[in-house]
Amino acid sequence: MKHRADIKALINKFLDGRTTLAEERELYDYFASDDLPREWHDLKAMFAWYGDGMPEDRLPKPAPQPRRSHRAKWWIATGSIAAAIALMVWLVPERSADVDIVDIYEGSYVIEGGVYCDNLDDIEDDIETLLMRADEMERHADSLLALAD
Amino acid sequence: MKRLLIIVAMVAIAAIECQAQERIDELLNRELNGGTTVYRMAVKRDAESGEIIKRVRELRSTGNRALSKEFLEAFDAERESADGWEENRNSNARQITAVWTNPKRIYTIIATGSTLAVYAQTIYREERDDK
Amino acid sequence: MNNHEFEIFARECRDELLAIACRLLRHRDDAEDAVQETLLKLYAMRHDLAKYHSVEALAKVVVRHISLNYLRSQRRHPTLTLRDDYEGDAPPDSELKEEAIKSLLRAIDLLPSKQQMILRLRHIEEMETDDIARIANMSIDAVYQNLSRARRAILQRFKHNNDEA
Repeated sequence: MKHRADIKALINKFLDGRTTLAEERELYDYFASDDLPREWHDLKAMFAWYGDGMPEDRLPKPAPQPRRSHRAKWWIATGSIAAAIALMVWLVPERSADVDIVDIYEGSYVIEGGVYCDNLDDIEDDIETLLMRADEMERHADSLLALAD
Repeated sequence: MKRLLIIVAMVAIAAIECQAQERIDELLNRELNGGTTVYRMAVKRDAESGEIIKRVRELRSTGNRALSKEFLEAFDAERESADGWEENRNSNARQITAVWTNPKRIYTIIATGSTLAVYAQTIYREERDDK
Repeated sequence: MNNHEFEIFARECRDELLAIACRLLRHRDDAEDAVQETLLKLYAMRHDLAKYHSVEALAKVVVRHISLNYLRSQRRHPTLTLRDDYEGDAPPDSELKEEAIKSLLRAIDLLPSKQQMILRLRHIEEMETDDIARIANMSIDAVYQNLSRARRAILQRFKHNNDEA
């Protein structure tokens, strides 16, 4: 019987998509046991589901997503282009904040240390910073094109 | 025969349209799985229509000189085809901005001795001036 | 069509399918996704493909349909209709009848997403990673990535279900 640490490593390998078929069968067999730590009960149910051929009627429904309403933000650049990154000012529009609008960052994600995250509530700051930087680069690129003309 | 020529032409044109600086893009895609990098994809949409205005990819890495070298070589290889190009260099760092139009794409690399940042953005339409 | 024949077909038609997807989606990553999804879904239907005179023509219609579905979901072109799917790059009527196309596209829409298709190839058909990569014309790393995302999403469902219980 494998040590718990080995099984943990195998679980992580499974979640990384990198296990062999034999390793996956090993996980199904291990989790078929009734003698498992309580915190692994969700894993037991999951591996049983895989082992039984992924039956549609036994797949739990996804957690309901809270409706996101990211208000579009406007900003103005103050100072020179070179200093703009440090001097960007965010302004929130005066219009009603309760109006539900299209999530303007839908499709964004971050992968850090091999971990993928597309939960916009978690990554919103990262995304907004990146877009701000990108807009700055676009303004600079436009000036290059203007010079080239 | 005519149909075959049309197909070949269509594939070639689409390949150019979609080529999108393949070497730089291929490296970005390859590094998606790298454990030592941070990879961000930002999508900006029109608030009312949901239409995509731009997509921006960012890759950051530290301590990987070989990767910096690969990206810099990829940029150099694409230089001839760029519509706009700017390079700044000192003993410690190199920064390049490369621009292509139609479709509008902007690639930027900032490489110091030990750090790397690469940005690739595609602009689908100009943001409406509703500021 | 057996696995080997399908792999050859996937390899030969991939560039043309990518060209069609690129023209619609403009972004290369999205176009690659559309082509992979096309190949995976055609693979799922491979035993039914013999009745179609030209599988290549079929593949072009499917990749266009999948690309347009993506555009519709992104709300770029909300007025796109099903008719748009088989104009443009669609082959002339002598190769594929309109009713056959409609029926096929309805079947394609009922198949699960690309990630789920890869999961099923792995867990139900017990396919090796490199075989999946060849069928879908994707890299091994891309297969790992897709499996990883799908499995993590599935785990979240079981965790949420456990929390609710």
